[in-house]
Order: sequence, then C-alpha cells, then structure tokens
Amino acid sequence: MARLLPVLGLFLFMLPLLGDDETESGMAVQLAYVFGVWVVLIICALLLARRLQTSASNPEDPMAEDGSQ
Amino acid sequence: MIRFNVLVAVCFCYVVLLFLVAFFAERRANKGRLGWLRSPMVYTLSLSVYCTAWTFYGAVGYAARSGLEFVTIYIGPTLILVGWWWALRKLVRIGKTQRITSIADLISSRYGKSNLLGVIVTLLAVVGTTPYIALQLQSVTLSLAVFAGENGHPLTQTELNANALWLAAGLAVFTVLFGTRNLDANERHHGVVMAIAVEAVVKLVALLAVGMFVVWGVGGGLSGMSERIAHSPIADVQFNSGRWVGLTFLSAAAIISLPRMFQVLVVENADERHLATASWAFPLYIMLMSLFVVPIAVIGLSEMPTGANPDLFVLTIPLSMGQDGLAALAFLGGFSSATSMVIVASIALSTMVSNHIVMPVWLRWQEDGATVSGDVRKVVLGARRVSIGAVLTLGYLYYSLTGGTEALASIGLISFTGVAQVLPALLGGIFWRGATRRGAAAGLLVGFAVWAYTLFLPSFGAGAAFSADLLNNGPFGISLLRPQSLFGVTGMDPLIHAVFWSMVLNTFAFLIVSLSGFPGPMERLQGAQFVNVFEHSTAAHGWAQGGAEAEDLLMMAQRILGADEAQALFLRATTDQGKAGYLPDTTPKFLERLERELAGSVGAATAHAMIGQIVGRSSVSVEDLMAVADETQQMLEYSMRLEAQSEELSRTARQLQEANEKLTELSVQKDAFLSQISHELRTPMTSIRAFSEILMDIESLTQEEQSKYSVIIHEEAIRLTRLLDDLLDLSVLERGNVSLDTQDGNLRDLLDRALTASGVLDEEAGMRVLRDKAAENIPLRTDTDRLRQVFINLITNARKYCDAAKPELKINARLRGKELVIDFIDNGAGIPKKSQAIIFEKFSRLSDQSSAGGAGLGLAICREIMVNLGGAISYLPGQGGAAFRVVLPTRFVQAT
Repeated sequence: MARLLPVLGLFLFMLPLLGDDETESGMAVQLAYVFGVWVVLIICALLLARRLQTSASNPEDPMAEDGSQ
Repeated sequence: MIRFNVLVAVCFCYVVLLFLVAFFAERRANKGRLGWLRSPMVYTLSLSVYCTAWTFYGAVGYAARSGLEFVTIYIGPTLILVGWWWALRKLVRIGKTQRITSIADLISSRYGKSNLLGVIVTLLAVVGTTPYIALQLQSVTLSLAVFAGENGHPLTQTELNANALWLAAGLAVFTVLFGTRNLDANERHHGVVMAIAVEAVVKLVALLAVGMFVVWGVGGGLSGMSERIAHSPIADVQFNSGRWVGLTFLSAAAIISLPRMFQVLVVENADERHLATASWAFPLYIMLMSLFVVPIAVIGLSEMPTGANPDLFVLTIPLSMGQDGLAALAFLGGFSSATSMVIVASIALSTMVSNHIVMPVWLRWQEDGATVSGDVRKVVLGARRVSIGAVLTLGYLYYSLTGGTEALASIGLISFTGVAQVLPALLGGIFWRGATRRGAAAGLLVGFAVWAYTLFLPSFGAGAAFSADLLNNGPFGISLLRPQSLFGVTGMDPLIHAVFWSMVLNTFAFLIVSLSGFPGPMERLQGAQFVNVFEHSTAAHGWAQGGAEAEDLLMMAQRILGADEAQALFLRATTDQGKAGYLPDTTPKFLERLERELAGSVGAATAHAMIGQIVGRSSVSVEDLMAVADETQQMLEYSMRLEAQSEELSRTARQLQEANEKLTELSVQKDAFLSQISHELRTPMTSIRAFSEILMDIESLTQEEQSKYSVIIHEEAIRLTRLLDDLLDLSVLERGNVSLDTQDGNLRDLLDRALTASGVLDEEAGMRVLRDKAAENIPLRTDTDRLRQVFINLITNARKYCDAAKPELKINARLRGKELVIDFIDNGAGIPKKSQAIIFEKFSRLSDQSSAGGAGLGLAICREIMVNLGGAISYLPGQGGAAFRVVLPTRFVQAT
C-alpha cells in the first residue's frame, strides 16, 4: 500500500495531460484539481504513516506485514 | 514608506536572532538534552531548504510566465516523500549503518570506497551548486534594490555587488561558526538545523501573509479571485505536456540528489521514524507554500505597471499598496529562504570537498602516514572552513560575472539538471547489486558532459561560451551534434531536451559499462550491504586479522575522533571482547567498527585508506564473499549459529587465557614476593648487624667514626621501618578497613605540594613540568593526604624512569562528565605492552636497577588508595610516553 501511493499520485497528477484543448476547463478548475489531489495525497500519507508506525513498533517485522498488504 | 536603514536594521536583528537560536540549540545539544531539538517536526521543517529564494520569489514569476507549470517543482518532491517506503527509507537506513557523510560519500562508499567517484561527484556538486548560490545572492540583492528604489535612491550595480559581498561574508561566518564547530561523529549540526527550522517557519508565514492579503485584501475574496484568474493572461498560457512530465521528473530527482537535500534528509536525520511524519508534513508544507502563488501572480500582472519584474511581485505588491510591514515580512521570508539554502549547501559541499579532495591529497602528502602525523581533526576542520569560504567566493564570483541577467527560474533548473546526473548511480547503487564502479563513473561523466554541452554552456547565451554559429549549425557544421537539438531531435524545449539526453545517455553508459565488467570484491561486499540493508544490517569484514598494533590504531583514532571519544571506543571494544584496558585485539570486527566510526568524520574512502596504512592491504575472505553470494537460507542460518557459538567460545577462551596468564603471573609474583621481601629486609639488616658488630668489637674508634657508623645504622633502621610501614599500609588498604581522613582542599594546591615534595622542581632533576593552573583550580573534598601520596608517587616515578634527553611531565586535569580526570604524561619510552598489565602488582619493578630504590610497592599502594577513595588509576597507552590516568568521581569534587 505504501508503495502504491506514489504511483497513484503520479497518475492523478499526470491526468491533466490527457485532457485535450476542446474541453478547456479554465485555470481556476485546474488549480482546484491539482490542489485537491495534493490534499488527498497528504491525507493518505498521514493515515499510512500512522499505520506503519504502529506496526513498526510491534515486535513483528514490518516488512512482512507490508508484503501482505 | 519604509526606510531603507530600518529594513537593514530589521534584517540585522533577524540575523542576530538566528545566531542566538543556533547558539542555544548547540548548547542544549552539548548538554545532551536533545529533546525537541530532534523532533520529527524540526526534521520536517529543516527539509524546507528545498524551498529557496528561487521558490519564494521565483515561483510567482514562473507562474506569471508559464501558468500552472510551476507546481511541477513541488509535485516531484511530494511524490518522493509520499513514496518514502521505496527509496528514502532505504537511503536513511544506509546512511545510518554506513555512517554516510554526504552524497559523494554514499556513491564512493557503495562502489568499493572508490575515491575517484567521490571526487567526480564532489566536482559535479560544486559546479551544479555554485550558480544556485549565486542565484540566492542575486535574489537578496534584488529585493534590497526594490526597497532602495522605493526610497528614491536606486542602487547602482557596484552597490548591489557590495551588498552581495557582505551577504556572502556574513553567511560564511555563520556557517563556519555553526557548521564546523566540531567533528561530530555523525556529522550532525544541531544549531544549524534549529536555525533552518526557524527560517522555514518565517518564510511560510511570510508567503501565507502576502497571499492572504492579496486574496482577501485586493482580489475580493475567493469568488472574486477565481473570476480574476479566469480573465488573467495566465489562463491563456499553453499547457506543455513535455515540460510537465520532464519537470516533475527533474524535481523528484533533485530532492534525492541535491547535496543540501541529502544533507538534511539523510545526514541530519536523527531517527528513521521522523521520515514517516515528514512523508505527509513536508508535502503539506510545500502545498501551503504554493497555495497563493497563482493569485499573487494574477494580481501582480493586473495591478502592477507593465514591465515590472514578476519575480519580485511578492515584494512589490505589498509595497505598492502601502503595506510596509507586510513587505518587510516578505523581505525577511525571501532572506530566510536564501540564507538557509546557502548555509546548508555550503556545509554539504565543504564536507565533500574536505573528505574527498583535501584529505586524500593530505594523506598522500604526509609521507609518514596517519600514525605519525599531527592532529588530523584540525586539518579536517580547517579544510572545511576554507572550503566554505571558497564555495561562497565562487558563488559571489559567479554572481558578479553573470551580473544577474537571467530570469531566476532558469538558473535553478539548470542546476537541478546538473545535480540530477547522480541519480542513476545512486538508485542503481541501492537497488542493483550488479552496478560497478566503472559503470557509475562512466554514467556520471557522460551525463555531466552532455549536461554541460547541451544546457550549461549554451545558457551563457550565444557568443559567450559557444559561438552563435556552433549553436545553430553544430561543431564543424555537423548538424547532428547541435547542442540544443542532439541527433536531429528538433522542436523540443531546450531544458527538456537536455534532461532527456543527459539522463538517457547517462543511464545507458551506466548500464552498459556495469554489465560489461565484473565488480571487484570490495564492490561486491559494499553492494550487498547497500542493496540488502534491511536483511543484514551487520557489516561484512574487509580486514584480515593481526598485523596491526592496537596502540598505533588508538593513536590514529585519537587524532581524528579526539582523545576522549577514541579512548571510550577502545574501552568499549575491549570490554566486549571480555578483556580489560584500552587495547583490544585487532579482530576484523573491531577494525570494521573503527573504520565506520572514522568514516563518520572523514568519509568512507579516507577512513579506509587510513586504516589501510596501518593494517596493510585489506583482504576480502572467501567467507565474506560466500555471505554475499546467495546461498540457501539454511546454510546462512547454520553459519550464523556457528559464528555466534564460536564467538562466545572465543570470548570465554580469551577471558580464561587472560585469567590464566594473570594467575601464573601472580604465582610467580608470590614466590618473588617472598624472596624479595627477605632480600629487602636482609640488606639493611646485614649492614645494621655489620656496623653494630664494629661498634661492639673495636674499642679504638674515634668519636667521629662512632657517630658515622651509628648514623648508618640509624638510616638503615629507618629504611627498614619504611618498608614495613609500606607493607602494613598496603595490607590495611587491601583489606579495605582503612579510615579516611576527609578534608577540604584544592587540586592545584595538592599538585603544588606534591611537585615540591617529589623534588622534580629542583634544578638537578632537570625536568620540565607542563601544567594548566587555571584548569586545576578545582576544590575537592576527599582524603587529601592520601590523594597527594598518589600524586607524589606518580611524579617521582616520572622523574626516576623518564629516559628522554629533555624530560617533560605534562599534567592535565579536567572534569569529564561525572568524573575528575587527571593525566600524568611524560615523554619517555613508556611501558612496553606486555608489562602494562602487571605494573600495579606488588614488587613489580620493571627493571632491576637498584638505583631506582623503592621496593616496587608504590603503584600497588596508589591503586589501593584510589580504590579506597572510590576512584581508579590506570595506565593510558598511546600517549607517546608513560601515561597514568587518575579518575575521581565528582561527588568528591566540591560544588563551587
């Protein structure tokens, strides 16, 4: 899951590239989109960091748990 | 209207504040109370050196020119931080286990501790960072010029240059003061990090304040603002998808490979878990930094007169609206961004330059090698200070040469591209075991050359480095080699063109050369450790047993780590080996550990070379290579179990052997004791008997002769009594039922009296005594008579046994933690290693010189006295003479 997040982020950030010029949505909307993706990523990272930290403080190997996710 | 002088004063106060912050953080850290100094938030804020003046001022200008594209500079780092589990976690772990000091150190260490690679990366970093430092100087001077212009006194170019010079000098002072204070074993700079964190807060607050003012004060709230954005010329900017992808990639590469980012991300990292916090907090920080960039650009374009520099909108908008306080805050924000970048970058560069260029040259230049040369720490620190000065001078020169002509953003991106050339070697190094030293060197050189050819040199403009003809038609008219359209690829943005070709050719060179050769044994060992850092964090051995004298190693380590740290390290090692004293067996494991400690100060390649000078050639054993090769898990486990057992066994064996040796030694001593004591008692007895017989038998003695003989008898009797007193004293002390007579005293007085009593101050003794009387002024509460007895004994010994032509005795007293440590060091031949263990035993006179007098009880008594006083006395090897250390716990030192 932790490894997947940046891939998801990359995909979302690169999405505006696909939009062609005809569906010109305006600067403000693009701006809102980019910052929206940003906020979502930050929140996901925050939740993940919490989870990884609690699992890392367990005696079990965090690597193993990560592999199963 | 804010006065220019007021602004300078504000700026000055701010700098003083930063000095204070750094100073108190440093002092707190020295006292060992790290606490919040090392919290994850401070770590996150320190990462903000990514946001330089270029992002602070330049992002707005960038947005005014190219619209939304500016966010790519932040998207790259966001993705890398969010994906910390992939690369950053590994980098930080490697940085910790291998004691990495810089990105050049990481690359050199990974590829078999090759110094060649270290030098290449260092040069690359210096060339890539210098323009960037120039950029920071330029942004501060430009912003100052804005204020001066507002006051009606536009600054001339000379005045601007003078400002830049002052700024560079001030930054050099700060960096030298807090960046090279000491050679920390881990290269951490608490004061600097704290100051950077404060600056991070200032610049965020400044930018948010300007942004809020623009949106709600000028733009008319959120809805008004979005209206204005839609009608702004920015909205019409063509969306360039090539640049979008390319710049995102570039900024992602930059956050890993920029020297200053590596410094704060990996080297200054105190705890791996801080990375988890930074993974969301740093993206949040940079998102806030870029939140108001577009509104500021839009308002600037519509409100400011045409032709105003969009790079300075952050400053000029509040100024033109009469918001002087806000403008001053914005100025401080830009100032913070510039200074924090310059400070961290020059620390990172100076570490690289001193470890990879100065130290190797110096080591080669010192023919005697690391053991005999002077204090290495001074050389390293000196080299760092000089490099900081040199780096800033280079930046200043670059600034004054280019004259601040280019738009801010373009220099920044050129810099990024240059430094990103490290990326293939770096990622290849930590994920691919087949990567070789030659491959890394080839990739770096190719990438560097392509970058210089397609981007860096053309950036000076046609006619400067390249002629216009060469730019348009290629060298010698070969159009395939035109710098800005290599191999006939035309129509690409010049920057993206350069990023694409340099990275592609770099990676190909790296892969092809790596695949066409085999890594050497050292490279394989290091490669396996880096790639599999999470599986086995223990280091493989690269040293053969034996050969090295622990004392030589201690001498060298003391010169790099400092006496206290080195002694503590050696002491821990001997304790782990189950031995006593300062000199451990030079097992491969110990050498490995020592090398890593040294690497924390001078870099892996240099540390390896220094130990190599003492130990001889490093050898990689078959077992080490086996551990690297992929055997079955079972074999590994089996060998690990065996290793653990054999280690346990060898430790026990060492202990047994040592105990046995001591027992044998003791039994020989017991025998010797009896014969000694009879001998010692008999000699005076014989003369007493002989002379008393003479007195009895011979009648015709003159008065003179009679008194002479009785004086002899008396003296011999006294000697006998003294011997018996000593023996009695010793047995009382040994049984521990001695009554101590505790008094107040002062260490200096005690030493004064001891020196007088032992007679070393007499002319005939001819001994020079070196003391630091100020440091000795320590009040004591202990049995001062007994303590003085110990001092007298040590001083007398030095007088008797020091065989130097010009004997010297150095007395060195200081408080160390909870102990008072007093060293007595002479410049004689010292005590041979095999005798060091027994000198504190009874009757262990090392030479049979009867001239020395005494029965060999002195040091034994000293030891017992110190034990009874709650302290200790020990022999300190590796000081260039006989050296004894007296340690007294400070509960005996009076509170002052």
